[in-house]
Amino acid sequence: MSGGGQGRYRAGAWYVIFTPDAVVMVDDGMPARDVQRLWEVVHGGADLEAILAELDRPAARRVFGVAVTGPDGLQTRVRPGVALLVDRGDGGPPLVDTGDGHPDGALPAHAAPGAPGNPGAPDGAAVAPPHLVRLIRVGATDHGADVTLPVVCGVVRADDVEWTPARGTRRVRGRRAVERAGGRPGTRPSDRPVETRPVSVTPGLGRAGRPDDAGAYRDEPGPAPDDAEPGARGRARTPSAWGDRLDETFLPQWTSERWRQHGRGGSRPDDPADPAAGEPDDVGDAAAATGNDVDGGGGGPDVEGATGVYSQATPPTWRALAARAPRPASNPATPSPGTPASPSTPTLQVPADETRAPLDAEPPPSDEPADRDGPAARATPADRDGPADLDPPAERGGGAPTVHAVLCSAQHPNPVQATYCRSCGEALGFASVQLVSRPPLGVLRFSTGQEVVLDQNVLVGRAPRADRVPGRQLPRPVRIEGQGLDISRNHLEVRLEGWHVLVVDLGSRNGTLVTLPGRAPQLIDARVPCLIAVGTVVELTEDVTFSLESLP
Amino acid sequence: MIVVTWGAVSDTGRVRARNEDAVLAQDPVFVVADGMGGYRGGATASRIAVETFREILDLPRVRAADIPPQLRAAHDAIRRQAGIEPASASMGTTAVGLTLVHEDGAAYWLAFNVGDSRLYRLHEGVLSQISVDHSYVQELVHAGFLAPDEARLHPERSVITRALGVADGSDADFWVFPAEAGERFLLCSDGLSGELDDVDIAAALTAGEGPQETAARLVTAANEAGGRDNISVIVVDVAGTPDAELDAPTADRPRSAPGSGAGSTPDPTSGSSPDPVPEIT
Repeated sequence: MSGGGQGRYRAGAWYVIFTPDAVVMVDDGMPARDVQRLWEVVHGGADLEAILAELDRPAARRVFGVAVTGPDGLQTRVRPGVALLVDRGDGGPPLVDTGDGHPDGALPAHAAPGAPGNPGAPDGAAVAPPHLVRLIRVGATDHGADVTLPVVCGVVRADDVEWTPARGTRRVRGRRAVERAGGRPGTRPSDRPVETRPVSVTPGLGRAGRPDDAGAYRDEPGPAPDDAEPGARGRARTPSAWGDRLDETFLPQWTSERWRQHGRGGSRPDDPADPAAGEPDDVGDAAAATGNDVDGGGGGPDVEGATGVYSQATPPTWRALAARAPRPASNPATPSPGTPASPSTPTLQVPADETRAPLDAEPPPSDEPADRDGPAARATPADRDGPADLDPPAERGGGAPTVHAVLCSAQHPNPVQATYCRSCGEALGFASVQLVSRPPLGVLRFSTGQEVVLDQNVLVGRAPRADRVPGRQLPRPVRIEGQGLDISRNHLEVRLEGWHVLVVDLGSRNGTLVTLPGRAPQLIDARVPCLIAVGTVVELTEDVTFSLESLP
Repeated sequence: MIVVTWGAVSDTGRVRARNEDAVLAQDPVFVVADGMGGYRGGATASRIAVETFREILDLPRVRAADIPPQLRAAHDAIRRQAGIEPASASMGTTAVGLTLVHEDGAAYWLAFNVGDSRLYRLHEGVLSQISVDHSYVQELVHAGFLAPDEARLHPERSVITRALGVADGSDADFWVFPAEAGERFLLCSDGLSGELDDVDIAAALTAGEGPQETAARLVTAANEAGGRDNISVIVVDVAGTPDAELDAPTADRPRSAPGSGAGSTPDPTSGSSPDPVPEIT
C-alpha cells in the first residue's frame, strides 16, 4: 500500500472517514457502533458497493457522500444533504453533485469517464483521476471552526472536508495495477508516474504530530521511514498544496477570505511535484497551521455569515440554513493555542467531545424523542368539508395548527431545517415539505410542580384570562396560586409560532426574567416576544420559575 | 371549591309559531343556540349544535382545548345535515356557551360565541357583557356609525355575520378566565336582549332570586316587552369560597433586593387581603 489519499477537514458534527482511497461522510445520526463498523469496512478496502451496502444496513436511511477510488477510477455517490465537488485538475469547472439530480444519487462523471452525454466530461476524453474531492454537509453552519486540519486516515467529526484520492495505490484485492492517469494529454507531469511510486504523506504531518497517533493507523503496510524522502514529500499533496489549490483553482467563489487565510500564505509552486518547491511549502504550512490555530483557537464560536465559507455564488440547491440553531460549538479538533503539536495530528478516533457520546456508546438521544402523534392528530385537512378554504383547520377553532414539516420514514414531523429526526434521530436529507398538525413542542416544568405540554399557547399568571381570542390562539391557562401578589394576573404568555416557542411578558408589574441556556439572565421587554430554546429558565419571581424542556 | 347552580327557560315568545332556539344546561356545559334558515331548518341547526355539545358531558374531565373542536364538529354536523335536506340548505345557528373546565386542578370558565346570542357576567353588582355580537349592527357600532343604545332598535338588528353551519364565517370567539365564587352568568338569545336593555336585565339578575326563578322572570319580562322572537335564558350561579387572590391588584416587588424594604413591600404570602379591590376590566 502506498501513500496517497489525504485531506483536510473543518471540525463539525458529522462523521467523515478518511482512508487513502476512500472518503465517506455520513450524518451524525448514525449510531456510533455503526460508524465503527463502517470504518472497518471502508478501511478494509471495500469497494463502493460494499460501502453503500454498509451505509444502508442500519434501519434508518442515512445521508451520506462517498468517494472511492477503484479500478474504474473515482466513483462517487451522494444522497441529498451532502454536496460533492470534484475538481479534475484540468482547469475546468468542478463537477458538483448534490444528490438530487440523479435518481440514485450517482454522479456518473467518474464512474464512467468520458461517457457520452456526461456533462462532466465535455470533451469526451478520458478523465484523469480527480485531483480534489470536497464533501460538504449542506446547510452546515460555521461553528467557528475556521481552522482546517490535516487528516490521512481515520474518522473525524467534520461538516466540510477535502480529500485527494491516492495515486498509484493498489486498491481492493490487487485489482488495480494500472495507473489510469497516465498518458492523458495535457495532464501535468505531476499527475503522472511519479505518483505511482510509494510516497509518504506523513512526514509533513508527523513532524508536528504525536508519534503515537501517527502510528496508530499503521496497521496496513504504511509508509516506511525511508519513504519520507524530500522528493516524495513534495509529490504527495501536502496540506499546504491543498490550501493552494482550493484557493486558486478550485471553487474560488465558494471560498471566503477566512478560509483562504488558512491556506499557506506563500505562492503556490507551479509544479507540486517539484521537490524544491514542495519541501519548503511543507515547512511553511506547519508554521502557518500553528499560527492559524492561535488565530482561530481563541476565537470561539463564530456563526456570522459574513465570513462563512460559501460566501457568494451559492447555487440554489445549496441551502444555506443559517437559521438552524448552532450546536454547542465545542470544537474538539481545534487545538487550543499553545499546543502546536496538535494541528497536524492525524485522527483515528472521533475526537473527544463532551457534548457527544463516545464512539462505543449509543448516540445521544435526539432532542425530543417521543411519539407525538396523539394530541396533534385532531384536525387534518381531510376532516374538512364545505367550500374550499385556505385557512388551516385551526383557523376554524379546532385542533393543533398546521406547520410545514419534513417527515422521516416513521412519519415523525420535523422542522423544515432539521437534518435528523427530532423523534427517532433518523437522517432526513431533502424530504419534501408537508403541512402537518403541529406536534407538541416541549413541556413547561414549573417550580410549583405543574407540568404543561406545549401543544397550545400557555397563559401564566395569578388569575390568567384571555378575552375574545380565536380558537387557534386559545391559551391554556396556568394559574399560579398562593405564590404572592407580585405575580400579575396575566403575567406572561408562552406562545407557539410555527416550530418556535416564544415568551411574551404581558406588561407584568414586576417583569419576567429569562435565562437562555448558557446566557445571563435577562429582564425581557414587555410585549416583545422572546424566542426561547430547550433549557431556558423563565422566572416570574425568585420562587416561581419554569423551564422549557424537551418531551420525555 | 366551586359549586355551580343554574336555571334555564326557553320560550317561543308571542309572535313566532315555533321555537327555533335550543338550550343545553347541565353542569359543566351551558349553551344557548338560536337557529335560523329554511323550513324548520333553524330548529334543526340549533338542536344539532346543542346535541353536539351534549357529548362534552361524557368527558370525565373537560379541558379548554376540548371546546373548539366541538364547535367545529357542530358546524360540520349542521353542514352535513344541510346537504341531506335541500330545503334547509341555508340553515345555521348562533351558539353562545359557557363551560367549566379544569386545568391543573384550577377551575376556569371557557366561554365561546358565534353570532348574536349573548353572555353576561354579574359580579359584585356590576353587569358586563362578555360576548361581542357577530352582527351587522355590532359592526356599525364598532365602526362608530351607530350608538350602542341604537343598535337594539336598528331594523337590521337581526342580521348576523357569523353562525355555525354557514359556509363562511363560523369562527367562534373564545374567552377563558378563572371561575370565581359570587359570579352569576346569563346566557340568552336575542329574543331576550332584543326586548330588554342592560338596565332591565341587571335589575332582574339582582332581584335576589335563584337562577331558575331569575330565568323565568327574564323570559316573562321579555314577553311583556313584546316577545317578538324566541326567548331562551340560562342563569348560572357560582358559589364557593371567595378567592381574593384572583382580584387583588398586583403588588410591587423590589428586584434584587430580597429582605429589604419590608415596610413598603406587601407580604407576598398574605394572599387574602381583607378588602380586595375589584378588577377593572
